Order: sequence, then structure tokens, then C-alpha cells
Amino acid sequence: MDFKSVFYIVIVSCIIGLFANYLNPEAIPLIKKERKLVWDSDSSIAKSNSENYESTLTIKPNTESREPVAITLKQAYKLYNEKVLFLDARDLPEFEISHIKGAVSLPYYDFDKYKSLLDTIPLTTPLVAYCDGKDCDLSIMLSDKLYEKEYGKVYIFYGGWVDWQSANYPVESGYDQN
Amino acid sequence: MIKTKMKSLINNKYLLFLFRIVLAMIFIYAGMEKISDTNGFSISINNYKILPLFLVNIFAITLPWLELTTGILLLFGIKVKENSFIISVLLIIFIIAISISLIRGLNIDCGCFGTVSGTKIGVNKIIEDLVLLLLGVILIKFDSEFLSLVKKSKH
Repeated sequence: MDFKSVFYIVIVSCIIGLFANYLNPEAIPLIKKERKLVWDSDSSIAKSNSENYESTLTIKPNTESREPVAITLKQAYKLYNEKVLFLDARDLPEFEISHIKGAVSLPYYDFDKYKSLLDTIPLTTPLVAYCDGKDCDLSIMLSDKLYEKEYGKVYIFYGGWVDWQSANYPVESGYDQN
Repeated sequence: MIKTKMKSLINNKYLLFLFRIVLAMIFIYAGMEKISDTNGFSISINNYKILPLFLVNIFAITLPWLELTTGILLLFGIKVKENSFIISVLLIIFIIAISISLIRGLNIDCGCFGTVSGTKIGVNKIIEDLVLLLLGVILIKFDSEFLSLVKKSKH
């Protein structure tokens, strides 16, 4: 075995990779930036979803400058009681076992398959994305994707399924996609 | 006796050629899928939560090209032992990464063939990688010169 060749193959491949990324119009930065969660305050949720809810519907989604914001269990429960649509970013089998009552399954990894679902949801609809819990990023990634699709009010329920379950809030099982 | 029999069974130029092509094609495919969605692959690596954040994208940018290059070189029979060695090391890294994630109970996308396949990590992925690793190790040991672009000088 010629370890010199091994070294050259690795180095040349890396250089090609870096060069290709440099030329790629969808290039990614060399150093990944941390996705920092922006946390919402209770007041802004109250504003957007209670008495002023009707007025938020008239706001054009592309004029919204907010990015998806993270919410706590308490805030999520409040939105739940206000009948805000919850989106489950986990895989379908996990959703089928159990999920937040009334939530709709939108698995992040099968996003393209479920795209048609979004056609039925107006861009002004407030949405709450959740996944397993604090160790899972699916809700964040799904929220970013929804935001790209110009949904103006996207919340990330960061505590997710784990927090919801431990608080004994309403759950249901099975698949009942509307 | 059994050992020599096994050795002569594996040391068959057609069989070794088959191993070489299988390994090469899998790595070419894996590399190309990842190159087509570098950002998705970067997310997949990050989900493993093993590498520090500053290394995630560097790996996402370079690793697919290493897979593609070694796959192509292996396909044409160039530096078979060396490329099989690199592939084997990569497979060991993949096996370790998947094992750690499984032990941690992470339920994440494998990222093995980019984000297109969307397969989850699991014991079956480790077994797949172990089979490929076996092919890699066999090629390191026996080489495969059949239908190679380069002819080796006999020592």
C-alpha cells in the first residue's frame, strides 16, 4: 500500500470539493453558523392571535419581516386553545402512534411529498411546528422551510412532543389528515 | 486448510472485479447524491451532533468529493488498494457515527445517500456498511487488476 497516494487522493479530492463549492451558485459557507432561536414573548403571541387576529390576516405575508420564533410549552398551549394549526414534523409512524390533538402531519424528511397539503393552508395562517423535543431540529428546519414558502407566522414549539406529553395536554393517535 | 481454500475462493479475478465495481458504484452514487445537495448533507451531518459546528460544512463540502473520486478511481482500477483503504476508513467512521447516534437514541436521517433517500439510521445501516467494509478490506488484501486502466509493473 502506497500511503503517499492515499494522502494525495484525499488532498486532491478536498481541493476539488472546495473549488466546486466555490463555483456552485448554491454554495454553503465554509464555517456553518449556529441557528440561533429567536424566542417570542407572550405579548406578541397575544397580539397576533387574540383580538387582533383578524387584522393579521390582512397583512400581506411577504411584508412580514419576522423569522420563525420559538415558543415555550405555556405559549404553545395558549395557541392550542386558540385553535392554531399544529404541524408535526416527525415521521408518519411516530405521528400515528401519538401526537398533539388536532395536529397535522408534515414530516420534514418527506416535505416534497406533503407539499400539496400546504396549498390548503393560507399563507397568513399562524402555524406551530413541533417535533420530539429539545434534541430534535426537525421543527426548526420545517419552520425555516415554511418561512421560505412565505408563511408569515410560524412558531417553533421547541419543547415539542416530550414537553407536551409530560404536561398531560390533549393527545390523540392514528392518522386523520384533513 | 480452510483458510487457504477461502483464500483461493476469494482470490478470483472476476469476483474481486465484481466487489470492486459494486463498491465503486455505491460510492460514486453516494458522492453524487450528496454533491447535488450540499446544504442537505450539511444538515444531516449536523444532526449527528458529533462534529463541532465549525467542521460540519467543511466535511459536507469535501467528503462527497472524496467518495466520488475514490469511487471513480476504483471503478477504473486505479490505485485499487489505496482507494479501498480510504473507503474502508470512511466506512469505519460512518459505522462509529451511526452507532454513537443509535446509542444516544437519536432518530435522525442517515444522510448516507444524500437527503433524497431519506432513510433513517438503524442497525440495518450498520450492517450495510459492515458488508461494504468487508468488500473494502478484501480489495485491500487481494487488489483487483482485472479490466484496469493502468497496468501494474510486476515486482
